Amino acid sequence: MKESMQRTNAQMCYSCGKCTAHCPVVRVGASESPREMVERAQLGRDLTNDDLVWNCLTCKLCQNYCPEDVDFIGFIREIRGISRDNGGKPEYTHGEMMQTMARIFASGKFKQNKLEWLDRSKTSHDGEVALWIGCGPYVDTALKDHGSDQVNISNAALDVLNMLGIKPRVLDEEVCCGHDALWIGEDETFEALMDKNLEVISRSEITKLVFTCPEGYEVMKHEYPDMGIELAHISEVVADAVDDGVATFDKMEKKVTYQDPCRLGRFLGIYDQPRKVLEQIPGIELVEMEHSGKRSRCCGVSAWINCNQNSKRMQMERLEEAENAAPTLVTNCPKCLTHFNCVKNEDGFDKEIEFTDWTVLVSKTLRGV
Amino acid sequence: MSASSVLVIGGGIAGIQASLDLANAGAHVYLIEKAPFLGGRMAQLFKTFPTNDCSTCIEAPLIVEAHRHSNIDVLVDSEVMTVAGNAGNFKVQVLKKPKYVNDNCTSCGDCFDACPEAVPNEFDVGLKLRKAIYLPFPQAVPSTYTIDRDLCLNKGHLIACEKCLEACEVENCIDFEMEAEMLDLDVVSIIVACGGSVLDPRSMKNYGYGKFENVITNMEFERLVSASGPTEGELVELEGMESPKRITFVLCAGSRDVNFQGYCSRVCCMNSIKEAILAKEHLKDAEIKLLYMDIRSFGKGFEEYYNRAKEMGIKFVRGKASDITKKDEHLVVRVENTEEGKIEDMETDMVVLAPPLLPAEHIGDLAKVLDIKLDDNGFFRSEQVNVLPLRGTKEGIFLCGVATGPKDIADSVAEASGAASSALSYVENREHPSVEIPEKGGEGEPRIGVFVCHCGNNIAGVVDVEDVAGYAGELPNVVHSENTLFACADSTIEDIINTIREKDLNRIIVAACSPKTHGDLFMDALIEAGINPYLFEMSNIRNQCSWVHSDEPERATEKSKTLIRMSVARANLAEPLIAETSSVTKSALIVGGGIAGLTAALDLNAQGIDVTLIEKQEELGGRLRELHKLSPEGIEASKLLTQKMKDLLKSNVNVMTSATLDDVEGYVGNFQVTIKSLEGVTAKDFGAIILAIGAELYEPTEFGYVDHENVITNLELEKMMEAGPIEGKTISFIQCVGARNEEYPGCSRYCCEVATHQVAQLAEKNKVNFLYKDMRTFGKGAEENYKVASEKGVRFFRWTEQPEFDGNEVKVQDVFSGMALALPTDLLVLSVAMRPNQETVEKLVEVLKVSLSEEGFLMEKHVKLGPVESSIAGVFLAGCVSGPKRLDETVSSASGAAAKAAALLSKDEILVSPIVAFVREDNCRWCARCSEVCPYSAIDIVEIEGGKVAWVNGAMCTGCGACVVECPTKAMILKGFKDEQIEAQIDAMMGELV
Amino acid sequence: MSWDPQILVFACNWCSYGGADAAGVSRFQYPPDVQIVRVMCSGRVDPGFVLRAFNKGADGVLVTGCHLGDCHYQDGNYKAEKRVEMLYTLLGQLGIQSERLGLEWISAAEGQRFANVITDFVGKIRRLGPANGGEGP
Repeated sequence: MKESMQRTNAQMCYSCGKCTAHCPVVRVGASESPREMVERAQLGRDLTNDDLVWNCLTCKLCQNYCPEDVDFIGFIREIRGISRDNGGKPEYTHGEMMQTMARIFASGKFKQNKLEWLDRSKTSHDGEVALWIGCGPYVDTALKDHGSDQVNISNAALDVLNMLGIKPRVLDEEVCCGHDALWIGEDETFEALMDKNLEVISRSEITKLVFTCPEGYEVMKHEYPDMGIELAHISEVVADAVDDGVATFDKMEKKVTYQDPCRLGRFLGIYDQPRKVLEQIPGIELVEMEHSGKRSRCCGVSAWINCNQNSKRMQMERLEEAENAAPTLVTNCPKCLTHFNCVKNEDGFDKEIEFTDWTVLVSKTLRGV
Repeated sequence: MSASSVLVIGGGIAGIQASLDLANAGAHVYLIEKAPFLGGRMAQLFKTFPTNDCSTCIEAPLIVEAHRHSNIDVLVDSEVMTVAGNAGNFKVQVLKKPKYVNDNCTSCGDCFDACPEAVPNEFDVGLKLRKAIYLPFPQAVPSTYTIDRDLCLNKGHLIACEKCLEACEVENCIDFEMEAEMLDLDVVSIIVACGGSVLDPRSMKNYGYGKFENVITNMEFERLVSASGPTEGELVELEGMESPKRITFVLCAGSRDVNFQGYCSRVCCMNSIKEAILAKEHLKDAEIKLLYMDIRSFGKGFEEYYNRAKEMGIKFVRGKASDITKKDEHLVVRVENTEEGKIEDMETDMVVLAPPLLPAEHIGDLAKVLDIKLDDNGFFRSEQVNVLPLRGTKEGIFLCGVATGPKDIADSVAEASGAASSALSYVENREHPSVEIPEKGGEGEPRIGVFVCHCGNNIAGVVDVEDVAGYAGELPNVVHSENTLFACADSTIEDIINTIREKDLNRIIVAACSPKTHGDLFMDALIEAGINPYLFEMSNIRNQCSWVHSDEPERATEKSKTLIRMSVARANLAEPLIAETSSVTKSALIVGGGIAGLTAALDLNAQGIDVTLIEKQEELGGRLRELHKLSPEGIEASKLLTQKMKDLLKSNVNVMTSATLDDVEGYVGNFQVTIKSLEGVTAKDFGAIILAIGAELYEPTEFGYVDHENVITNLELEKMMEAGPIEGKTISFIQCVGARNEEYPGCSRYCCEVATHQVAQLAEKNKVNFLYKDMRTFGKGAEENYKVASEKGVRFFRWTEQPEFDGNEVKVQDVFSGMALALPTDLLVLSVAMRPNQETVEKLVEVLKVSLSEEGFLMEKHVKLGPVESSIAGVFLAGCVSGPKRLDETVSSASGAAAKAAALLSKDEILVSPIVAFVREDNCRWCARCSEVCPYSAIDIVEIEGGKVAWVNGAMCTGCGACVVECPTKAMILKGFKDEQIEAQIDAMMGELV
Repeated sequence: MSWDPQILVFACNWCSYGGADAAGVSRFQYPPDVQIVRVMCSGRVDPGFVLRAFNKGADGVLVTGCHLGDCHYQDGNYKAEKRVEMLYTLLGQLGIQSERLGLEWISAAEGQRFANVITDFVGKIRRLGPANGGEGP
């Protein structure tokens, strides 16, 4: 615990309470706050059963504001590991399917077959650029009833890359990136997955890996050892193409607002590129929500755990902001989209708003030169 | 004061249902059955029409419930000898024959294996053998073996075989000294549910039954095709034992035939269609034919079932088999195909006869003992056939099921409940069993006790029981483990209770047989030991291990260890569960003031229950007000209605006319209802709701009804007949108007009978033509009226292509003569379909969330065994609300609904099964997926402070767990079957035990 | 080295568990490679349970329930069918042969059928070999 506090600067906390004031979970009704949690850790208390151990979204909003630079979510991640050792566990959603799947991949016992939908004419066998597919195909199968539509995003990304003259490779043997396993304190699962991916990527001899999912991007950039290749989000690739003058767009009349995913925004600092591209599309009017950019608020759930009353409140509040801004919300993380699609199918949903993934939207208007 | 007792004669499905309804309403019941087991004819059936439900599966839970019910004394091997006294005070003598095996029997079967004597088993209609000591069939209840002393070699001191005694390892179990007992019972009323018998087809000489082995009865077919039958469900010819390639079903084999039985046996059409479907499913390529006179698929979903059979390629040939002979290796059925007008000699490999249902054997003796009358066909006579069908001819004696005439399961069950309702009016003292369920036991670390049963040799003969018990003792949290000869023996139960107390055990595992048969017994032991019964787990190492792996003792031993390991994993996470209670508002609301509503209201009033009846019209009486004379006896409808209205006036029923249901909140036992009437809106609380809204009649658009004044409906004819005599006309009737067509496949059930009764009245002074598709005169006295109409000169025409009417002539292609006929017609009468009461039904769906079947009638809880209950607990169905019914059926179902309501309202509070879903509110995001999948509308989204949340009504939840799987956030938990418990079992199976 | 498969069978309380009991009463033999977990309804089987079993080392999972139309809870078996169909796709994607998951309807009277279904399913899993591709027959 002590080491955890040192590693994450938690011992520096002087109880100013800014984190608490900004914490989205506290705002909708958590029984404890980040500050109290750190305080209790300083006093050497057992945190295993603290409310925030598993309810924290790890959205990093608190760290935007912390005057002492406490890595609160890093602290949470360490506490989760400790809690797990003490028999604690999160509230898994969807019958623990997502976590079990990650464990199955980590075991290396089965050879997955998730690319049946893939149009191989859009890909190449030996290019230097690869598109990361991630867990979309599984999530779509498991959560079809919840409106999950992630393969559509990968397909759109292929179209976008093709349009820009890139025939990407798809790594048939890529496994789950391990992001969620890492963030729920399953270090052994994470490491097994990482090792497998490092091996696959290294064997592939690619030089650039493009992501539609910010989580894969984030975890490979920050948690994997340096692979010596370039990592990029699809919005960075398109933004570069715009800069290079190789991307033009058809007209699309739409008033939209944009959801910054926590991983893409606060973790990776990518705020401008997606916006820049949207603004290049003739007819698109981008209106910001009350909280956007660094201050952006969360889609409500992370790592397929602890989805609950509070998550719904957050989602409803966030979508209220979106509704006030524009009739279309552009998401840029497959999970944000899945979470919002889910709430849209629920009782009590009363917002007039439609959701579009950024890559999907771009693929509909992008024209090569 | 102890509860008043009611005698129920007959342990078939009708007797069981009547007993349960009585017992659940607080009466004490003596259930008398002649045979050594409960279940009657239904237990012999493989499937039931029209859903192909497994018969055993749906009947067995009721049998077990009746057997275990503390208000029911089941007396098998028993007969009523004398009855004295009167309603409210009958003195009954019952002779109980000895079984020669007492209740210590563990049904292990060792004696059966040892017994040297075998005869054909009656249960399998002689197709399988049984021993002198036997259990008639594996699921038999009571499951105590019985000795057939006629067959047994042990005759006094003359011959001493006693092989069974030697084989039996249970102390004091087989007892050859047992003697018959005469029991004296005091009862307040009597229900006769004696069922019927079947004509021995040998009496129909030209059908060759008994001469040709491959001519069999429908019950023999049922056992042949049954998974638990003599061939384990393989359909074979009895001669040759090969799969038949051609099967011919002969319907009306003795029914509707003055040489044998003039009446319709009512069940054979559907039962034969079911068997034909089963045959087709077994043997895809077989040629299957049904020889019939009229297909009487009159019940709900029956017509669709019939259509399905035709689609499957089953051939229906109209004609009565004239004789059956044998030529070479096959049978030949001779029949005139009356639709094509040619004689056919059908070659076939197997003939299945549908012989008529007869009154029960010795029904005359029983009638004498009870001092009640029989009708012309030898069944019990009803006090009045239309509106008092369940009342015997002596006060206090009630009739149900086949006792009054042939009937299917659903109709018998509805009548059984109805009879119970009537009998309850004599039950003054009521008592409900109450057991104090201990709450304690779950606290602290698990301290598990494991008891591994040898079951004599049944488990120990295969599984190394000592090794298994030793292994169990080493498992984490197990503080006691032992092996025992018979876990279910009284002495072991004592031992379990003592060990729980001595070692402070808080979880118990018995590794023995099945929780389905023995779970309750051990749970009772936990209660006696003072710990919560849901801390009990059972490992099924007999039925699902030693018995099925007898050739692999080592692996069976290993498997037993795994099963116990899995039980330990489950037990570790077990919690004490307490059945919650919910209070009951002791009043009933009846919606609809027709004959069904009136009957239900008067039944409940007779039991002293507070009843409110609402009727949307200004006057009560419903359809009965519009009818003239009723089939079959011609009694005037107005007379019956007047009598009911007089009864109503004398009663305390609170009647509101011009009143409709506005809104309903709440749930079983606690409905808050608002009623709209001329006086405004009234709010009142009720514990139960009976829906008796009736049905509508189809408004025809065909046959020129709209254009020609001389086209009227059968209802308009009733009024015309009431107004004055109709003479000197040519009148044509067309049946099935608005029914049995593509848009509306169902049969309306009432119209053939009503129309034949109408034409029988008209035929004397008019010329009458009768155009029909199938003549469905199945009700009591209906077939006889059909004959009267024929005698009086009514001409019958059968059509498949719809006739036409131009105002003067009816044009019809007559199937019998094969001719296109033009029938001059002065008056055309259309027998119109019964359709759901659309507007009211929609309202009911809105306010009560009841479910509808395809045609828009209300869906029953179960089409066979829950005919008077809706899909919503506490809401019951009387009359045509659930589908077309004849008058006596309407009345019976109304009484049935009253019995269900009475049982509910007799309790101060309802005990809710603790195995129910439960919402962890913090985790709930009120997405409403749970409430969408709940088949019982038990889940609502409700407001709480600061938001909303799913809420499970424990009184309506049945514990299926569908919502738990649907819940994306694990907010929903099924008590007793928590995710964690099942997950722990899976982990433990793979060796992980935390 | 000989290998015995590990097969998990979910059986609903009202039909299939009764069918398993009936198989016992009639002594219909089947291979001991299966372990039965009783649930109230086949509609109670969470897809997560099936994935969990495969992750923990099961070689096959069989879901059994009442025949369609016979469900004690109206339509739980239809729900089970829908979920199993989803799992067929998902298992295929995960690289677990979808034949390793079975769905069968067995009534309480069908003891013989229960034994036959189990025998066939065990035979199939034995032919497929261990799920993890490790040591097999």
